Amino acid sequence: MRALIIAVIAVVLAACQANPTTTGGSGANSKQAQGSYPSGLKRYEVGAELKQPKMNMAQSAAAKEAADRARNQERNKRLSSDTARAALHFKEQEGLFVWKHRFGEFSGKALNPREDLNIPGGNGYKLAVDGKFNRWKVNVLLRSIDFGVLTDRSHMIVAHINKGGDHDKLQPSLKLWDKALTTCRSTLPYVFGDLYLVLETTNPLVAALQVCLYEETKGDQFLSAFMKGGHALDDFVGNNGLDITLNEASSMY
Amino acid sequence: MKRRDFLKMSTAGLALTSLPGWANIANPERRLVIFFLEGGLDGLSTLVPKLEGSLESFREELIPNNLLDLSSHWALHPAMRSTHKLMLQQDILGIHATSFPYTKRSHFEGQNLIQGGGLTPFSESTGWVGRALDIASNGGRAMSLDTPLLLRGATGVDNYYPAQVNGSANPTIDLLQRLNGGLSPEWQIENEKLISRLDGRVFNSRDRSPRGLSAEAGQALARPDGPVAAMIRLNGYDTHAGQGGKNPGRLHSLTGELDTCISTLRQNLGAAWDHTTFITLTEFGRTVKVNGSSGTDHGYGTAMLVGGGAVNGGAVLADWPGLAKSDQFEKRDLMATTDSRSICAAVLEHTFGLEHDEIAERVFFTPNLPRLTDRIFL
Repeated sequence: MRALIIAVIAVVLAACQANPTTTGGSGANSKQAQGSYPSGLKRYEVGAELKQPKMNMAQSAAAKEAADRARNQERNKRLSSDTARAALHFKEQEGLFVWKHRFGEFSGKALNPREDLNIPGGNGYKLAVDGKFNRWKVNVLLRSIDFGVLTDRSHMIVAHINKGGDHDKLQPSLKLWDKALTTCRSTLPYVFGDLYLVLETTNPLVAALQVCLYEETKGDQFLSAFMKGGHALDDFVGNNGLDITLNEASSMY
Repeated sequence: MKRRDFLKMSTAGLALTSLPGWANIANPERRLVIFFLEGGLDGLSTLVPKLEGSLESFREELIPNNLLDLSSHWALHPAMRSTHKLMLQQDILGIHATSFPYTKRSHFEGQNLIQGGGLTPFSESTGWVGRALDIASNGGRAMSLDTPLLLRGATGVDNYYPAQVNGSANPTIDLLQRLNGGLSPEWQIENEKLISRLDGRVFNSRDRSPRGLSAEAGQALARPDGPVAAMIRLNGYDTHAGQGGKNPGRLHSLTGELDTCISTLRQNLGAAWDHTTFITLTEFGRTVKVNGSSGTDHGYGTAMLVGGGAVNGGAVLADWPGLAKSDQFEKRDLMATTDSRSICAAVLEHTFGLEHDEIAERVFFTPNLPRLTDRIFL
């Protein structure tokens, strides 16, 4: 009897050795087929093919800028017809198109404190300005809109013109502007006012559309002054702490 | 009101802690952010052990599609794209099978314990961050009843919660001074503090969303004279039903929200990200097996994220216990093999320049707490 019990125990022990139970995280047999988690506190590195170099924020920003620049340059090559058209009035600087014209001066004063536009998901202010733009007296409501950190960037000024009162003389200019928008088939998706001027953009298509608008309206003295003096107007707005930046296409950061 | 209803009702919040001006800590530019995930995060669906053969047998419907691969062993929930990117950039470290030493699965007890950092729930009237700040600054105490337990004990605690009342986000000095006359002497002291802070005020938003609070926290912490610690409270992680997996559910929204908060915090910190460490805390994990409502119930072990410029990220740290029934805690939960307090202690050591032994003894009252600082930071 004793020999029988010993024999049974021996069989059970042998069976256990052949199929060990999972203790301490060894998991199931199916895991053995796929791989395993070794015991103890282990560091499981991100896959070498996925891992990217660790950078501080300054390095990260520089790397992003370089990547953006390369992407823009690549796209500019791909959209060569738009790039060529943009080159008529934009200077390309490492993938960024900058409006060439730098004439005229703007002098003026803000008529009221800046007012929050309450834009969902972004920041924006508006400011009424009474000023002189070359020989033109201008009363504009400038808007500053910042939609956050996005990849495809455009920087533009937007001027909402007071069409009534003493500003009847501007009506022909505005009619011409509306016609140009139709001709160029180019109401940009981010038009917030009656007039806009793209001063900088990473997108050759946007630059080409701006060129089209300029060509269609350059016979009008006011619009010509507005566009040629855009940088001066932008400087004035900047001096008032406003920054009109419009963007399209978001990224994660 | 049921406890679950209460948990659902409570909203996101932000609390900030400053050091007194005379405090002399080793690295005053370093900052700490705690994302407090209320309800109990399901670590197994957030930081997924891909190789775990039994995962599918216990919870096939909870395993998300389109996991974001980290390695042959691990993957992230698909809603955490920014976090994934930061893990690949070695700025975030995942730590799995973690928990505070609490196994009873009560929200209120668990939340109290992980904030208090004591040995039992409700045993401490101060929090572990607050106690660490007290040691770091040798400061006296100024306690506010509204201050989260986690931060209590520290000097100069600032509570911030953007109100929706018109004008309340921009209190004027004039208004506050006029209020002073009607206040009792002790509240006058508090009011004077508020007035003195208005000049350096960084809060302009009335955005009460977790993303908005993360942005506010990032901007405040980035200031050289800004607060040193922030706690951002996110809730809703009590995913008893409709957790989601193959199809997006509640956890998809929740992890997506956390993901947004992390990227927003980083963006608003700017260069201060290099000196900031964030961690996620939750009161417990969830059951390994899916329940009858396509969710999970209160459990034990969970996962944590630790991130920031100084974090030795790009990996998952774990003493993986396995998911076989015999490996589970009480045959139902992920076993916790790493004491979350060790991770918190490492973060305190790095951020406030304290000695590990002092943290173990005076902050967590556990002298033999393992030191993980070298495993977490560069």
